[in-house]
Amino acid sequence: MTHSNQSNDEHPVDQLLGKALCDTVPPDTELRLLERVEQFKPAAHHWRLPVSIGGALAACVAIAVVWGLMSINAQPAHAWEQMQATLAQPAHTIQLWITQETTRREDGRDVRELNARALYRAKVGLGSRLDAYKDGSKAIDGRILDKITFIRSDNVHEVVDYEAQKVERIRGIEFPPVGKLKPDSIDEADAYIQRLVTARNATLVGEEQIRGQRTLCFSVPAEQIVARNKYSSANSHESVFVWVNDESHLPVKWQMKFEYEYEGGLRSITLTYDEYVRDQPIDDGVFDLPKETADWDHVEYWSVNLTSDADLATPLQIQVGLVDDDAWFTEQDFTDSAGRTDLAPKAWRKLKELTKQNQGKVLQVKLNGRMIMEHTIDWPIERITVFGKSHQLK
Amino acid sequence: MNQQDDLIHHLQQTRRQMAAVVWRVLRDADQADDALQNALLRIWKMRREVTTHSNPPALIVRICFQAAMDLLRQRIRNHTEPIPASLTDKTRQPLDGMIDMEAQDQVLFEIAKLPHQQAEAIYLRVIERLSYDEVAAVLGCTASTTRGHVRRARETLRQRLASSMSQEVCYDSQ
Repeated sequence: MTHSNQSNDEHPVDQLLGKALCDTVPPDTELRLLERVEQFKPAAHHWRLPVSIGGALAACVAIAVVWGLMSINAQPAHAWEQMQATLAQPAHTIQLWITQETTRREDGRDVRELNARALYRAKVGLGSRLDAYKDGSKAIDGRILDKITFIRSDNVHEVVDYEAQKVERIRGIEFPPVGKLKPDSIDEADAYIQRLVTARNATLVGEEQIRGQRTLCFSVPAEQIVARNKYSSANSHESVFVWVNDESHLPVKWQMKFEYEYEGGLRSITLTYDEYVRDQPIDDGVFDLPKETADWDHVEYWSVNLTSDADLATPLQIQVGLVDDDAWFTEQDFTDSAGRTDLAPKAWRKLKELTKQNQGKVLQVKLNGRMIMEHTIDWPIERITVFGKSHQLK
Repeated sequence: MNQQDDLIHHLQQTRRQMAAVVWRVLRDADQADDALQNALLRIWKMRREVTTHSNPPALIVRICFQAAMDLLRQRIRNHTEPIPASLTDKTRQPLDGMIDMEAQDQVLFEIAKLPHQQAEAIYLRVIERLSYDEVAAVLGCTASTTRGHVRRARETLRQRLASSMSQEVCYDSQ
C-alpha cells in the first residue's frame, strides 16, 4: 500500500483515532494470528488442462506416476498429506454434530438430548449438555444459542469450554479419511474408496439403500485410532460412512463416527463433511439431510439459525432489512404465518435483488422485532436457511 | 502464478496488517482469531476480485476491518465484552489504563455506530493512511464520494467524542 502525506488534512478527530487504534498486537497474539494466516493454504479445486505440449507431456508423466503409486497401494502418509491439502480449503464447511435421543418432557416439548459433547466454535465444553428443540433452537447448558458456525481451515478440531474459554485441542482426528472429497468420475470414486480401505485398514461392514442413496459403512480397527488420538483407548471405535448418489454413483457426503473413551465414559463424535459451499451445492432433492440434523445446514458462507427464547407459541415474524445511515433502509416482512417453512417465493426474490444491489451494506434479520443477526453483504446471497430449511433465493 | 498463488502471495504480504486490524478493533485474542478466520473465508470467496484488484492489500485490510467490526457490533449488542487487554497489561499504571481504555472503548463504540462505508473510509484513510483515490478504489466509489464519507465520519465523531477530545487537550496541556 502506498501512503500519502496526511499533513494537509489533519483533523482533531484523526489524532484521537490514531491513539485509539494504534495498539500494538501482543507478541503471543500476533504469533497466533499470523499462524492463522499461515495455515491458509487452499488446494486447487480442479484439474487444469495443459496449455502446451510440454505441459501435456508433464501431465502424462504425472498421471503415470500417480497411477503407478495407486497400483502399489499408496501409503497412509501420502494420503494424510493429500487430506490436509483438501481440508485446508477454507470454502469448505465442517459440521460436527452429535447422535441424538428424543425425549418428551412433562411440558410436552420434545427435547433431543445429544450424546456427544464436541462442537467447534459453538464453544461447547466436554460435559456440556446440548438440547435441540423442535423449532430448531439449540441450547447449551440451558443457554439458547443464536448462531452456530463451524468453519475450519486446518485439520485441528478445537473443543472450547463454553464458560471458561479453555481451548483443548484434539489432534489427529483425520477427516475426511483420504483423498479428494468429491470425485469427478466413478473411477475416481472407486479409487477413493480403495485408498480409504488401504490407508485406514478399513473394512466394509454395511451397505444400505435409502432414498436413492447408497450408504457404505466402513469400520476402522481400534488400534488405528489409538495411534492417532490422545483420548483413544482399546474401546475406541471409528466408522466411516460414504453416501453415494444412486444415479451418478458419485459420493456426495462423507461421515465419520468416532467413539472414544473419555473420563471413564464412552463418547462419540460424528463428523460430517459435505460440500454446500462448493461451486455446485448439493441439491436438496438429491441430498436429503436427516431431519434432526437439518438445522445444522450451512448455506453459502452464512446461515440464519433463527432461534429464540421467546414464547414459542407466538407466531414468528421475520424481518430482513438493509442498514444505511443508522436507519432501516428497506424492511421486508418475511412473516411466515403457517408452517414456518414455506416463505413466500416473492419475498425471497426481493431479498436476493436487495443483496445484489446493496453489496457492502449490512443485512439485518429480526425475529419478532429482536435483531438476531447482522452481516455485511459482500456478494449476492444465493441461499438462506430458516428453521433448518434451506431456501434457494429465486 | 495462478490466482490461488497470487492470493497466497498477497496474504503473506499483508498478514501483519491483517493481524493488526483485527486486534486494534477487537483487542481480544479469541475474537481477533475468529474475525481473522471469517475474513479469510470472505477473502477466499472473493479471491477473483481480490487478485484482480488494483490494490489487493488494501482490499484485504478492508475485509479484515469489516469482519472485525461485525464482531465488535455483535459484542456491543450482546454486552458480553471480554476484559480489554489494557486491563491485563501489568506494565501500565492503573490510571493510565483507565484513561486509555475508556477513550479507546468510546472511540471504537462510536466508529461501530457509524454507517459502514463511513467507518471503513475513515479507517483506511486515517489509520492505514491510504490516499483518497486508493480508498475510493477499495470502496468502489469515486474519490469525491470517499472525501464525503470521511468528512461526514469526522464530523459525526467530532460531535460524539467532544468530551474525549477536550480531555485529550487537558492531558496534553498538563
